[in-house]
Amino acid sequence: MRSPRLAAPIALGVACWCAVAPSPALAHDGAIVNDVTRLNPIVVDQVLVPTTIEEIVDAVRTHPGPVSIGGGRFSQGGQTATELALQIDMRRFDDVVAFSKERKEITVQAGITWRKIQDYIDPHGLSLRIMQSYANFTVGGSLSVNVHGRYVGQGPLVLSVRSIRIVLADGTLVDASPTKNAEIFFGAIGGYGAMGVIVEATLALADDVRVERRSQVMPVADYRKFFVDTIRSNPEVIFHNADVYPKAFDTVRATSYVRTDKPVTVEHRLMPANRSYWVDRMALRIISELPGGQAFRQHVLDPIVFHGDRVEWRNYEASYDVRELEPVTRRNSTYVLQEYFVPVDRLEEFVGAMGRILNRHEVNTINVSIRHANLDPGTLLAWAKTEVFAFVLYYKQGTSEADRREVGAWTRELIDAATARGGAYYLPYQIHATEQQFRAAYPRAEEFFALKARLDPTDKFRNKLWDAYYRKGSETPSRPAATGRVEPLPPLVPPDPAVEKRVAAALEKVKGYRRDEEQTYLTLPEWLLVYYPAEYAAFLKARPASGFPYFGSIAQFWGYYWDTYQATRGKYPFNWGHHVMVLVIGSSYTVENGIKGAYENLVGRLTEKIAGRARTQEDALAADVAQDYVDFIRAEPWYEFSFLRALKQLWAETDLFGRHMVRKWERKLILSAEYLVKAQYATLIKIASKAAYGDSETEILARMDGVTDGMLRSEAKVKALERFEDGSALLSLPRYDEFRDAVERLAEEGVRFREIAGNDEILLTCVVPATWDYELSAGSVLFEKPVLTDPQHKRIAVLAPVPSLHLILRDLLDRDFDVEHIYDY
Amino acid sequence: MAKTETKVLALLPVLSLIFGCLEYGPLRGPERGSVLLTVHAIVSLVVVYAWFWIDARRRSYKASVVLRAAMLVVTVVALPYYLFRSRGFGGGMKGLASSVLVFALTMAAYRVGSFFA
Repeated sequence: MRSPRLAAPIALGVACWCAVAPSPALAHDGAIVNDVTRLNPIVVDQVLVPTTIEEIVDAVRTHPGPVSIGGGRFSQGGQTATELALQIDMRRFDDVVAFSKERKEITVQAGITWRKIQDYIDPHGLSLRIMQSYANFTVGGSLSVNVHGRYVGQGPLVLSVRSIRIVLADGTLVDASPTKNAEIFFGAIGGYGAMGVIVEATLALADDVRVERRSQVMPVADYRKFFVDTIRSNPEVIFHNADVYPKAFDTVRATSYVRTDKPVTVEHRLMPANRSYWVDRMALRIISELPGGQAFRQHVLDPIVFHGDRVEWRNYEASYDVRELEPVTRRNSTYVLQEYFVPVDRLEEFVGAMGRILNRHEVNTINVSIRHANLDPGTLLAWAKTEVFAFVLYYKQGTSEADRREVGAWTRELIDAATARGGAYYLPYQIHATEQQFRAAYPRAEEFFALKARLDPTDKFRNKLWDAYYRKGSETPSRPAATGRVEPLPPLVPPDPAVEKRVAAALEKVKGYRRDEEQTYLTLPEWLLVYYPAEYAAFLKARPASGFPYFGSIAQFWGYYWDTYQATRGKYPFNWGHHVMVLVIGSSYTVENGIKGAYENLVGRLTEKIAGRARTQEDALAADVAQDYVDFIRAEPWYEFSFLRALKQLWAETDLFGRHMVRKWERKLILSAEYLVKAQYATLIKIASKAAYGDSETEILARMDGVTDGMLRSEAKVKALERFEDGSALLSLPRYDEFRDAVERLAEEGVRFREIAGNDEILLTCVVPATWDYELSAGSVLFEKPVLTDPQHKRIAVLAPVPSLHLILRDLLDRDFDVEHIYDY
Repeated sequence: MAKTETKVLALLPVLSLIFGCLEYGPLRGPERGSVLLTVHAIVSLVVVYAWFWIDARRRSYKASVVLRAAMLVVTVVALPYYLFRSRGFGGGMKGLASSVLVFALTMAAYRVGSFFA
């Protein structure tokens, strides 16, 4: 675990811009948008994904209702949306517009991520002058938040911005800089999307240089002097931060990256995009969940991590990936950030006060990272009102209402502790501050609001932050008239409780309607026994059997099982039947692949070598049988597969004699043994399964909107069972792969799902490029793992709110991703 | 004169020859879920079990209920176990080699049957 990264993502890229009107840009009607914490689901009216300025201008100009702006989804309090708004999702508006190596500046579209800029400028030996610690955020989001990083002698991002281009509420496109339209420039940067949609920015660059890490531990009481004497005044120091160890809050580890001419010890110039972070995540869990986790970090982990010389490129140190912080699940608890700023000379006082508050409330504090920032040059919502130290607090909290109330209580105490010392708190996080606290922290708020009232008189640009503090109490707007490509579907208005009650009562009477929601998770391990054989079959077509990752797939199977267990633990009653079944099939899989792995890596590898890597008829037949098996089990239970037929084909359809006799007969015998064992085992399981579970159900029921008779005419296996007074319908759908196919087709035709088998959440898996980060406006990734036989891809498990399932499917299919399965309980 | 166990085992290739003819003659190969496939499997299992029963009795080997059941449901695992338990390591190895040979002959006979079908 690298402490500076744990310490954190300071500047959460909120993306606060705006716009709307579905034109050629991709537009989705009705979606639930959320942020990385999963604490802030917000139903918006539409999501627009523009790719040109014209689309943004047109949307802002024509959309009649509120507009919110979304970037990387790393803000943590609803700063990217508000109810029934049009959300402009800027992430596909992400090109480099202009670049000058000589002037060391780059102009980019606001939806671009910092990482994409790094990929662009790194070959030119350049680096961003200021950015936050993590490179996943969008530039627009970072500008709206006015982020900072760990750069010494710098401060807020605005210091490195030469100009911006912004779309105002009337659709005007305006260029702004510190010298031109300066009030817009200083209002929009750090303005959380209140003034308009920042569409382009010109940023200052610096040289990419080699930096050497230096780290030392010291008492908090000594840190300020150390910083002032040796860090602030040293132009060679590029990055610096200090981590305060909870719960004593009396010791810091100060880490600097100092310019050097020494050769690099880290080969990569940028953080590899497909790097695995399981070690980091495991460390995070140890620190946050185990007794003594913090002490373990302070006295064991960090001394190891910071031991030895380390020289790397500046761009490497600036390209961290937030995936390293992502927990297995955020269902029952989540990792959250807060940040406070106090004048440099109040450091010790504030650390003491902060420690007392956090300890008194028994906050599960993971880390407090101290950064330094120079005075803000003039933004209206400046958090650096003087030279400040920033305190980035990273902690774990529960997701229940009670947990959130408790967080609100101690957050307000911390805000008071900061503002009483002339400081401020940061706005991209959960919105707990009172209006008085907001105004105490941001004394120029009135100027800011006056500018907004002038530029955006109808309060078009809105989000949860400004709903809380600007024109507080304004009424929720009525749903705006849809424009452009909006499908004629039922409105996203709260359902009539009386109607809902009657429909619910009617559904309760439908036999077999309700299925246990936890089974959407628990059936995933079963399906792995389809995916792994599919990977095995594909592998055998081109490569020798000995190369398959038998042991890796065993480990991954149990990893998936653990993840699904974690996702259900505490939320649902323990489902003994399903767990026993998974343990049985998992054990079988483990034994089978353990034996095969050992055999293939010893004997199999030897006979492959003797045969000179030649492929015998038996090898080809084994590959065909593996494929037959996969094709079969996609529709039927595995134990119905005829292994005896495969055995007979092995002997009847391959020659008894021929070339590579050693390999040939070795394959005949070992495959015979495999097929014989499986034939008998399958028979046993078939008998046991029928006795224990009976015949599997062949249909699943779902309630949905927008179903027409025309749709059903082309769906042979989908039947409408009942239509309700609110227009929704109860449909019977086939199960398993046919369920996925039917759901995809219905979603494509505009159907919206209300409930599936009585549940409002459903899990799906999708195989996506390994470098792709989940960026859809709805749903969340519960966990992901690499496809072992194809390192270019990974499998993600997406938890989909049923009402947003149609959007998620459309987004995934738009990207040509393969939705592997929807787990129909 | 061949022992009874040997005569019983000799049934395996004979049966396979016949089923090879039947399955690759009119049916052009074993069909998933076909009656022939099931009958051949059951008959072969009965033959193997009969051999085991005779062999165990001749050797005065008292097979447990578990072993007897295992010979029916996990033959590939139970058979080597029985061979080693009833004959010791050396005899077990010889028995195992013989079993593999018998199996190969059986399947070769099936191949021959399919060839002549």
